[in-house]
Amino acid sequence: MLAEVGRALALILGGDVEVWQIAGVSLTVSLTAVFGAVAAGLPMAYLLASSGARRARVGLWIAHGLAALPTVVIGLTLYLLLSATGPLGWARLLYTRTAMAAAQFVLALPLVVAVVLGALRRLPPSAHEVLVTHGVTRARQMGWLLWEVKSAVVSGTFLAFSRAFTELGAALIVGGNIRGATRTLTTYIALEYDRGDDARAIALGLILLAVALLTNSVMHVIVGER
Amino acid sequence: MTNQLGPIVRTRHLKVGYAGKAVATIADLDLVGGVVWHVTGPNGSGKTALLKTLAGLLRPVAGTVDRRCGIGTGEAIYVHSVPYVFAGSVRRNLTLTHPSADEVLAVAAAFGLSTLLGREATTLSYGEQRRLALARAVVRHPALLLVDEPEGGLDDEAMSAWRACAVRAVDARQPVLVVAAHRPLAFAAVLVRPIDLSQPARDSTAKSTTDADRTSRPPRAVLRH
Repeated sequence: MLAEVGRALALILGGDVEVWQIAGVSLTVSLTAVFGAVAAGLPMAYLLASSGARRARVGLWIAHGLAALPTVVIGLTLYLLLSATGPLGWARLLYTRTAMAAAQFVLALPLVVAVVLGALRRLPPSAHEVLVTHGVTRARQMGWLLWEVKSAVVSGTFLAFSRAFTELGAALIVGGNIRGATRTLTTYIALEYDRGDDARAIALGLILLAVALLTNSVMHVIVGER
Repeated sequence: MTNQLGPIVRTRHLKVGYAGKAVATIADLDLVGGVVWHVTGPNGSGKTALLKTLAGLLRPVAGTVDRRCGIGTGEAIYVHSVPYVFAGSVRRNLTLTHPSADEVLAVAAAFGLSTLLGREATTLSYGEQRRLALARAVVRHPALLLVDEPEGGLDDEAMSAWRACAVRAVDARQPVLVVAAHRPLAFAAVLVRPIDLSQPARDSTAKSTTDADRTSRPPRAVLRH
């Protein structure tokens, strides 16, 4: 076991090209997905929060439900949509990084919406009323209110990244684990585990663990300072 | 100026409340400048509901509110009894709607906030936050200013600033000032007209309370010295 860990560290520190290339793909796909989820999720959370208590409550309930969806279910659904015989088959996106990013976007979006919407709902109504009566435009109202819940925005973003970066099911189904193209840390760990190359699997696992811990630590530092 | 153009707000057969349930029936109002409109009544009598309805934050449960000022445009501003201040500096709060730097300095001076402009607003005392909320509203130059319990938690300096602001508004007839308060408003040489919610409204077709000459009931305005 210790020998395997030693080999894994040697692979990482020795600059194994394939290991770092796979880590790069993982980061690129997950960051793209999370950027999209934040760009869409923040306005969505604001619109739900400002659409009345009942709609906001239903929106939060739906977001929580979607956040708990198994990744393989999302992967399977996207596979059926993107496969050659599916309604989006014409786009030829199956087994591409775009498809993987789309799957991770679906995973990340409800998390961003749920965390930020929950925080917006906890603001007193007077926060919104001040902006309304002072004649602040809708776009700027969103900016002011999101700034009020910036800790939740940071938390939601990092949680979404963690979920996207560490998921396996959807990436495997719609990405296909194609070497040099759609192979990510999680799909490669699964592959190496099957092959029995424990050192490589451990090396990839350590990188995955390090990134996950690092992002969560950064989140706690940012949120904790507010 | 407001008088020349008529009332800035005119209500008819108005009932105010929350979620469609009326908490107060309001005698018809024609709100004009030049006086302080004092909404008075016990807890739960509908003072806040009336102010929010006039500001356009609540829909009337019944009746009509005709305004000569826009809703959500900064022309009708409601100042909460428990003020909400945004994260960031006092200056950031005062620049909610991009007033000029000179205006910010002037209003900060008027409300005793000059030395606090760089302070984090959420760390201000309650009284300071109230001053900030009033200053933030005044710097927007609203046509209609609705203030909920403005004198709670104010120290002498803040009270003077608030009353001076109110007197200026009355003198300039702009903004039309509506104040909800439990206690009598002690403004020097300012006409205070009560809108009393402690009594059930009379026949809602009663004439305006804005003009003593036209009203059918005894004028309840009080000139306080």
